[in-house]
Amino acid sequence: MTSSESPEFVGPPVPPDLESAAPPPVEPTVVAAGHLHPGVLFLRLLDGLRNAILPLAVALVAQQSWLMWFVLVMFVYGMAYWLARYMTFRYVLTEDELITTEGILHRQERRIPVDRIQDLNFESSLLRRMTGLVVVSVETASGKGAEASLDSLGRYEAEQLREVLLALRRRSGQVQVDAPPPEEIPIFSTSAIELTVLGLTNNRVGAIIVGLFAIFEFADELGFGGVVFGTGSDLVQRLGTLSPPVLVVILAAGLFLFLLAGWLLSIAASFVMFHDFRLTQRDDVILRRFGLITTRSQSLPKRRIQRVLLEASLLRRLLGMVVVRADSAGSGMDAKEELRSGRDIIAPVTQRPVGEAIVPWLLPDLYVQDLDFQRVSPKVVGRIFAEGLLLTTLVVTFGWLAIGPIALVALILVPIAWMFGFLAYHNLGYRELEDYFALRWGILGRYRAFVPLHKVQAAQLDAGPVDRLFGLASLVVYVAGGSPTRLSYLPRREAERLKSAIAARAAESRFVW
Amino acid sequence: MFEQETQPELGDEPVAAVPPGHPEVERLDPRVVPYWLISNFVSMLFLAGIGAGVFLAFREELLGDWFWAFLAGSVLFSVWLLWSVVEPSLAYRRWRFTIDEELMLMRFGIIFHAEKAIPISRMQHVDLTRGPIERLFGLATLVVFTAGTEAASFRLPGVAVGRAHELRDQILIARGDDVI
Repeated sequence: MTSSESPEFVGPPVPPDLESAAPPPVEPTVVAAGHLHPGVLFLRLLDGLRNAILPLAVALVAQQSWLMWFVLVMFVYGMAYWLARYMTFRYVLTEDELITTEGILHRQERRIPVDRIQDLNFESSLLRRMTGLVVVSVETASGKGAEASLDSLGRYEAEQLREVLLALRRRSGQVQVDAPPPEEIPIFSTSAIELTVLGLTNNRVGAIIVGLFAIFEFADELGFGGVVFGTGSDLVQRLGTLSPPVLVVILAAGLFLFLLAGWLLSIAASFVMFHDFRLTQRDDVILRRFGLITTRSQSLPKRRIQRVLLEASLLRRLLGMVVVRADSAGSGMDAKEELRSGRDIIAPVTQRPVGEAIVPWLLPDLYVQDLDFQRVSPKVVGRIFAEGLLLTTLVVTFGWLAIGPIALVALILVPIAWMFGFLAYHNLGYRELEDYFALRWGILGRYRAFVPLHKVQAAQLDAGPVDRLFGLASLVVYVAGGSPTRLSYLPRREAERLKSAIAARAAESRFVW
Repeated sequence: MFEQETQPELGDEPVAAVPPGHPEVERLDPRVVPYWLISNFVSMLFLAGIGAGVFLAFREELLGDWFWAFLAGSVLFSVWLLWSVVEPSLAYRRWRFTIDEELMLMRFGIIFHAEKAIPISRMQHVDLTRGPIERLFGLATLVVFTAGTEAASFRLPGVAVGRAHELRDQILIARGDDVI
């Protein structure tokens, strides 16, 4: 059943004159080349020392000389390894490829076609900035994060490399070579007020709890645990003797302080992350620069943008603010990593009209200011209400069995379910535009997504049992970046039509990364 | 619940994407039913092993104070067993697919319906995978990869090997070779 029926196994016919038709091998022109910056050795030394210091301390305390030797050998080995890597690492940029080579025993050569390079991102931590270094990561659309990382180059050298690369890409993009270097057009920058709002509306209560817990642990470790705990239980005892109104005031004050600490922490965090956020455009590339301690500089070619999101969580919606995000092909990090590096953030937070005005910069000819959305079926309310009822019944039944009639408190879920259904119906919407598909959803917050139809990878319809009871279905649109976009609670017929229309529209065009 | 007979065929719908005279809507190879039965059986065996292990470890409690848990477990297991016997043939009756010049369409799911439409021009590469049990039945699974980070692959299970090769070549020809 294998080789006997193998006509299918034969690949596409090879033109017989392929050998002769191939152009003679030309030595490619080297545009730029270099080594890593020697300052990186200093950083590695610091790293090595930092890693060695704890085991060394342990060895000294425990009076174990073999452990000291072990630490020393590991340290020397680590340094030798980094020195060898430093000595052998070399990068060469030709007109077509970026080639990196490294290794002594195991030589590794990596070639990345210039056309495939999606991003040249700079990142420099505080220490690197003090020594004038940046980590340059080369990102392609392979979907696995950075393809190659040059750790580290001097800032000037890195800037030069990016210039050259951009020039090369312009040439391959059929732009006149003689054209003057394009100007950098500012699109957006954050104000201190916006960063403050970002911090205020971030939910960082979890961080405070962890912080308090850490402080307590730390105190415990240093032997103050008893004291802290003692005052704690003391406090509880004293609180018990107070009259209820005073108790309420004290608790409220505590809660307020707790929230205040969280907010301050959160505001500080947003300033550290997004300090001096500037969004500019040069050519067809969107550039982002931001960061206080670790500065980041990222480029995002417009044509790689797979989806643009305008997100307003409840608090931000009430303040009339939105977050603008753009998913690009191959941003294959997990959500946490993405959040940490701000990889997909276009505007950390801004007023809604400003956010809406940014969209046409990212997706050409898409103006979303007064875009009307088409409502989905009003059956949504019943559908969500039914789900809520089901949940309530389960909770009440099991609650009754476990803790008795007090479980009837869960009936409060019934009006909440109805309200959620109502709110969801009012937020759900979609709009078919000529080149884009726009979706809107949310219950308390409001989220909008804009997907270029020629970037769609696949369209899908899902209908669970409850959905089918109500004649509803969800539409899922896949693009090459970010998680799939889902629009729930469409009428089934409408979902089927949209699925087919979107897929057909996508099939018309060839996909370009 | 199983309205596959009343569901209109894939081709009958107002599908703008499918031009008139497009290839016929296909079903899976009927051999997929025994294949699914066997693979379900294998996973049931695994589950039964775990169940037996738990039972042996906590026999006293399960037959004593925790009898309700034992009861619930057995009921759950029987329902699951029944389902895994019935599911393959139901799934087979629901499955439809078609591949034309532009789109690959799939429709399946017994309780949770799903309909997928994947433009041929978006496919990055096409794989044929064959597990040991599949080989026993002369079946193959066609796996189609599109660009993307999450859930970027789509599977068409239970196709006869020869047909799977045909479909793959059909896709490769329809796609052309100008995909990155």
